[in-house]
Amino acid sequence: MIQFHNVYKSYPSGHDALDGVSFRLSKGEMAFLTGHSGAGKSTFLKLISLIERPSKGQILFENVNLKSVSKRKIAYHRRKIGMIFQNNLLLDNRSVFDNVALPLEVSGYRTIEVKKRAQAALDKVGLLHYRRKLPSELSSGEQQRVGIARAISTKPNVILADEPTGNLDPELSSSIMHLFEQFNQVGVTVLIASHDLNLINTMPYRKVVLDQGRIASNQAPLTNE
Amino acid sequence: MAKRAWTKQAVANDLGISSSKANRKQAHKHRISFLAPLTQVAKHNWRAFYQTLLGQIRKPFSTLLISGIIGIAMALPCGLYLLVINLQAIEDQWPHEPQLTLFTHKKVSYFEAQNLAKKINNLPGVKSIKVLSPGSAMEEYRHIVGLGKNELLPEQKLLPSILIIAFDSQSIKPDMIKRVKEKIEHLGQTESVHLDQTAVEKLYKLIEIGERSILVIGTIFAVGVLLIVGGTIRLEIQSKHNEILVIKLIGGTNAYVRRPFLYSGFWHGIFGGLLAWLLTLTAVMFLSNPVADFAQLSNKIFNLVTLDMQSTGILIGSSALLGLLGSWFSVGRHLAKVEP
Repeated sequence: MIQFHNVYKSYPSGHDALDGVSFRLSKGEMAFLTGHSGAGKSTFLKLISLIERPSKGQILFENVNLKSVSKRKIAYHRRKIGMIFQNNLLLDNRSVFDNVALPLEVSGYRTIEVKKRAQAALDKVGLLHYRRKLPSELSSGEQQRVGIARAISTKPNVILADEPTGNLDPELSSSIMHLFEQFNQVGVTVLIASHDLNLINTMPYRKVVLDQGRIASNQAPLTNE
Repeated sequence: MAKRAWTKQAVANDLGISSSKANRKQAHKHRISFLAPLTQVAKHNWRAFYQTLLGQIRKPFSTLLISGIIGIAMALPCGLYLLVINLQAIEDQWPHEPQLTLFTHKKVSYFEAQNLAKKINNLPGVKSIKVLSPGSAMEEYRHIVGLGKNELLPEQKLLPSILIIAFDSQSIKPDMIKRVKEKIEHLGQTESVHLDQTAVEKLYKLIEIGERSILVIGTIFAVGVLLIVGGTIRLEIQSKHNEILVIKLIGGTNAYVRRPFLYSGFWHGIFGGLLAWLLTLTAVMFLSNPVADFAQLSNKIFNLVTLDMQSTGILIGSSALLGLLGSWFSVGRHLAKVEP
């Protein structure tokens, strides 16, 4: 599904975010990307969603070399990925429902389909009853779940999450992680960047540890379901 | 509310993603149809069209402010255009009366001058001739300069007679006047012959200046409108920075992001054009009474020409186009900078 071949990324400031990373995430796999802040986790995800381009090396997404994705095609590439952000990036001038419906509208779904899918996604994260509220009226945990609903509304094959539990207490965090597990169980490939080691260690998935832009360990899951 | 069981199949159905082929097919049925790219663009165009309109109506103060500036900028060249059009209408009503002024040699007597006038009167196109004797010319001069009757001018004896030659305005053409002028010069006894520019001809020159001014002022104000709309759209882009960022992150194309701003510029232009139209009409109404008085005084039938359907269409259309162009430039420059 996602392959990194000897990928380097250095920023114009001279900072080397990734320093020769090779990595492979199979279809339907769930994995954690971890490491100290500044280890290159965010850069790693940004390269997959083409927010950044690698300085050297190749990235394959669904067997497509991302180098071949032109600037104009980036939007279509991003529609294949459900992205979740630490600060959830919800639009506060739109209702919860409209936020979740936004990717569907952008992709040009029919109105009936937009309504159906947005409601299904909200139902999935258990927030359908809040659909008319504004994001600012919800708690941070609920806001994060709206962000997740938005990411899954188009039923993408891949979910990328950047510190999805960054601001949440342990209990909320584990419920969020549980949601990701459910998506993974139905075949969605999930990659989560997180430094919440206490939580990650309790979960039976691969952990890729980044350290100063290199993969320090690529630990296979301890147990399998 | 009963909690839903997260069975593998239930979730699979919800998400439409599963390893099973049957479910795949099911999911594909819900995907976008063949013609979808066209219909979705049309749909989003329509949505952007009315949503930007609603957005401007919801913010009447800022809308009025921007369209007010655009309206004034558009009304100025528009008013100048009307001024020129009306001057043209005045010019059309005034008869053209071309005339030549002839100065005889200083030695030519008044009697000789009268004989000369008789000869000239037979030339084609000449309607009438008025002969001014050196004495009457002197009287006129004294009157203008303000000299008393007994005060002598040193060169009084050297004054020529003056012949004012009027042509028949119906039949005479400019090149015929030139030919008559040459013939008169050949008759001798003349010091010089001048073609008088009548007031109407001067007015005609003024109209020419006016027409050029419309072009110059129109261009300047058109650039002004472009800059105003461009600046406004730049502010709109800045205030919607987050929204643009999110839409780009979830797969919105540049065209999708650009569309609402283009329509916003279009509406600024439309409202500005409407306001310019209103301002111009008000100005015309305000001026119509004194103009009617003037027409009556000069025994002319004259109505102020106001904006007709066609010029109104051109005014509002060009204003909308300028709005669209202004936002196009601004969006092209500033939207590319908003990247995740």
